[in-house]
Amino acid sequence: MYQYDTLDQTIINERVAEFRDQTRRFLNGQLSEDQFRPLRLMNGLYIQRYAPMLRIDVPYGLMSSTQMRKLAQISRDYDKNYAHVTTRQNFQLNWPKLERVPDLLDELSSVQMHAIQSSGNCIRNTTSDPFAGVAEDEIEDPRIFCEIIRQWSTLHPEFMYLPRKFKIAVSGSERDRAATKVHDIGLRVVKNSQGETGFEVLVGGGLGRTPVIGQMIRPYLEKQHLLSYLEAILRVYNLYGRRDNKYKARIKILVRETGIDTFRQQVEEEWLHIKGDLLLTDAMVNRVAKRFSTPDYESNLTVDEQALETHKTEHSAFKTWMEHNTLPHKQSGYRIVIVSLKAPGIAPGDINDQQMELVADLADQYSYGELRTTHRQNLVLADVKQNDLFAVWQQLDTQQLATPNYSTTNDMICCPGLDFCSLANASSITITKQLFELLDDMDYVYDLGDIKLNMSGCMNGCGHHSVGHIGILGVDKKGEEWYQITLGGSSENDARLGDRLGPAIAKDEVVNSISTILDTYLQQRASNEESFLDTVKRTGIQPFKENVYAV
Amino acid sequence: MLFKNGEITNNQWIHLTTEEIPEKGCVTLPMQRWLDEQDQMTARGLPSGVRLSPDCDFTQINTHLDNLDLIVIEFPVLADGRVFSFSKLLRRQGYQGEIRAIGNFVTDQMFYMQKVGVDSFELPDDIPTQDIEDTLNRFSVSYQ
Ligand code: SF4
Repeated sequence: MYQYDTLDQTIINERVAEFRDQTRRFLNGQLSEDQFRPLRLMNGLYIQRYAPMLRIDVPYGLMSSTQMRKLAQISRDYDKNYAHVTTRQNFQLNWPKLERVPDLLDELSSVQMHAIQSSGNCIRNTTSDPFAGVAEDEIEDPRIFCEIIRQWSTLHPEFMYLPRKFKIAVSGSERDRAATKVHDIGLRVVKNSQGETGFEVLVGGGLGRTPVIGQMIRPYLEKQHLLSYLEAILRVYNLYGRRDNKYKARIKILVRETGIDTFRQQVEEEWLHIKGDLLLTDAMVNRVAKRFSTPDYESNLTVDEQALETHKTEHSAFKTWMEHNTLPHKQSGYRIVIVSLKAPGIAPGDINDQQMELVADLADQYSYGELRTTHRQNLVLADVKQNDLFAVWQQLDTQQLATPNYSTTNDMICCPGLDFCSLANASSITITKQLFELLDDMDYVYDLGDIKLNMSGCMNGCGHHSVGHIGILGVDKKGEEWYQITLGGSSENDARLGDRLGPAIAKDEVVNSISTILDTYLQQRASNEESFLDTVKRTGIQPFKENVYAV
Repeated sequence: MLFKNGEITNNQWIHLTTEEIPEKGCVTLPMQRWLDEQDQMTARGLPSGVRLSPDCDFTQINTHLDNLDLIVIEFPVLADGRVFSFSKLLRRQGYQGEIRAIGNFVTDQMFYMQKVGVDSFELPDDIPTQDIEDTLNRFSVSYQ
């Protein structure tokens, strides 16, 4: 966990004071709605369908038990006892009152949290691999670089009023769990021929209305040039990104219209001017690295296999949970635990105050006081001893946090949709409820294997539908809710956009159609080992289409 | 009103669009007009200024920086952040004269503007000076 120094703390305190002053001037009429809007957005505050929504940053998805407890208390004192984990690893509160937001931010700052740049046309929270530091396939821990980017981008004087929002993701592993190819800038740690690590830089990816897979702009960037290269990209974008049409303002459109080669040339030309001045020295990296506490693992931990076996035999639910919701850890004797926020009857990613308090306690007791959020809207206890798994499961189970569905079809991503968002065409939360009913037979769900189902309430694509193995998008047809289905998308190493299955489907047919798609997969797969995604890639969408649209 | 060097001061400059250039006084012209009429401007032997709108290709004045005493960056809307990069790059080119912001910005942006090299601001008269001072001293530290 990164611990603030006085500089970090001073900046967020002064930022709270700034926002308090802006809110005061808005409420007394000195700032108009148009003037206040970009200012409040830059501090995570939306005004939407029913109430303001406040988005709180969880930098690269890493948080402490103290911060989680604070969120629980805030959700009680300022909201309706729950919060929502977003696809960018942040937390959202749906009912805070504008007048009280400055106080809320004050409380957050007391635990080193903030809402800076969680919205607005600026550089947003940098996201990363939820298994950073513990994954077996990691080349280098990306979090130090995420923190360096966080600091560099925080209140950057030149880049607070970009053409549009700007999102950066960093992955440090072979397997891309940070969706780097669908970010404005994606950074992937790679090794060069001398065995040194640096970054592969991708640019121009993004979801939303016009989803695009990012392109490689630089195959290998030395770490010392990280900030100057980012600054060069941002400067070219700030100067030349389109501002005449907000749907064409993301960097993906600039890269597409300029062409990646010309764009690269512009960036590298600008980079030449600054690369000497903006060096990331070892000392700077160490200053940040030093402030990360790392778990003090017990080496040579003996796993009590016998006790584990007994628990598994006595509690089949524990056995299933351990198989599905825990993952291998780089340190022997430990497992990564996924805390599922996808229980039936609950909007995906929602968590109430009691649950927050429970996971904070579990983190303290069993996982070095740390928690992570994932872009698939779950939580992670990253460092749990295998000997403690049973105790952790028992407690998670008391609060409906042990649904053994990680990486299955009902571990879906879903935006808040009609239920909260003023832009939605779809009651995404209602549809997910029906999907849970369809998928209540877990043996069937496990047989289906790894399927990423993503759903967005409108074209803005906050639910990442276009990169779901199965994507569902709410569309409006003459005031009615219809749903567009895509198949075969992915946001990992093999990132691609899903193919449209056919015409949009009426609301009451959606769940039937998904059921048909899943059955078609079971018929079509070449063997039990062939995943849904591989099957769709091999057969194309034709067999699925035929079955779904068969009269 | 004009805010410069930490205080409200008199504005010496007149911003012309299509009006004829007067014999006396400090004037600014829109960039294209300044480029077209720069000989006449220089011949006056008086301070000379140019105005950059976010849409213009400001690099066209790079070779004229020595002949300019004031560069004005215009905010048609507060969210058009291109001019922040203009200012940054003009300073990098070695321009040492005054850079001034005019238009629809809010005082909250002044802190960031001064960090990219803007050193004077034309503001509506009803803005409390306290607000200006608050915003300029808002942050005691920064990451950049
Ligand atoms: S996808 Fe659309 S409906 Fe869903 S949260 Fe985003 S803007 Fe709102």
